[in-house]
Amino acid sequence: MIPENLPKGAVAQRGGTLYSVRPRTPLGEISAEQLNVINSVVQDFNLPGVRVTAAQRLSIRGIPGEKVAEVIERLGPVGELCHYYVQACLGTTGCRLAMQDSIGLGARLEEFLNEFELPAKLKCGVSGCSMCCSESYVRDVGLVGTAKGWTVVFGGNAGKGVRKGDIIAENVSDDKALEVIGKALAFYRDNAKKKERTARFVARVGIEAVLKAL
Amino acid sequence: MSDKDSPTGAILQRDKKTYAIVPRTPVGVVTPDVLEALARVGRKFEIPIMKITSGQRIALVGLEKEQVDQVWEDLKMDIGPAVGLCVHYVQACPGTEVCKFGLRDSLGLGLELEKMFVGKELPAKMKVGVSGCTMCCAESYVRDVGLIGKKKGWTMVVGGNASGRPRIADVLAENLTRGEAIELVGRFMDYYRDNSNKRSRSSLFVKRVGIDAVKAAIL
Repeated sequence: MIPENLPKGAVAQRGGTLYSVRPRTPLGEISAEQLNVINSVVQDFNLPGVRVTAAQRLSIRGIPGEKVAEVIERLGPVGELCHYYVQACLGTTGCRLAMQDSIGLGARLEEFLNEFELPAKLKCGVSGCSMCCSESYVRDVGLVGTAKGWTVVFGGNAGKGVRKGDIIAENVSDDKALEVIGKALAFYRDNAKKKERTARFVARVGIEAVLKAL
Repeated sequence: MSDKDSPTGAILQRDKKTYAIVPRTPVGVVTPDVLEALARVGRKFEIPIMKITSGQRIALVGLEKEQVDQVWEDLKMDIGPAVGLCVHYVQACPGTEVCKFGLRDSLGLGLELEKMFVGKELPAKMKVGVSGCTMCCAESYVRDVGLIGKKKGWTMVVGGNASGRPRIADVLAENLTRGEAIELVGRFMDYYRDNSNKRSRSSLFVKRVGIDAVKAAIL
């Protein structure tokens, strides 16, 4: 049964009778409490389990249409508050190798991005060191922590239009990094075609044009 | 990077006191039993940070040294390699199992590769991504070994990397059946093992020898 008003955040699976939802887990962080809620929902509704996605989220699948609203109500916020996603590694919160606080800046970036209406989806990766566990070079916006601050990367993609991002700033502070990202995104917003991801956009206009706008 | 005193499957954290562990969740699939175990352990040991990783796993962070063995015992799960020189994980998108766009069974092939190859010793760590269509949700072009489902079969790419020294993988072969793909993944891993320098990731290796040499050797 297809629910008449499919709740926001529910995604139809193949076949069209079952749905999946993704609880909000900003920056991939999930509390034991949240995991318990998800666990009890999976058990109570007899669902097939969850899948960990490459975007640091948990996808709860196999939900019958008529149960979707009830499941979402039990889970709390699903989908993204920020319509652009930001992933981060553990950074100085725990990792021995970290140079910068990736979770801290990742959270600020999420908030910052809410101010933008962009032509296409945007994926961001904030890595606390050059190991790049958040795969910053293949994200639309990537940040890499170094001893001297942040390296800012723009126009990367790990999907269909795979592209290595270009460096648009180096050795910058948290504030300066957000400022540079803001300028790059404003230029992208004003000049990209509808649904054109940053990778295609940068390939089309050239990185020099982006750097000039900064 | 694990130090010699670390308990089994544990990674020492920044505070030099606590540890992180990463249970094995092949192709990101967490069954209700595993979910229950993770939730129970999180509650019981009051684990401070549970973090979903980019490798489709859930890391439990901030365990005291003496808790590590107890947690593993409670979880009854295998260790997901996170530091050794071997195949760390196989990630996969939902493919034809669940996704509307899927052209091939990426979850099925991913699971089969996971069982065969995770833990296989190699000159450096290796990551594998299996995507059911060209949208590439398992980011196959930036994995050491990537598979992409197309109408006519699987495309296999090798030598990709998504780290600080990123590299887009080269296409090794196209229109492979599932059986052919599995066999070719094995052949590539053996060739890489026998010809690469220690700690040299497949991206550096493929760049050094060139994709044509790889093709000549294993196709």
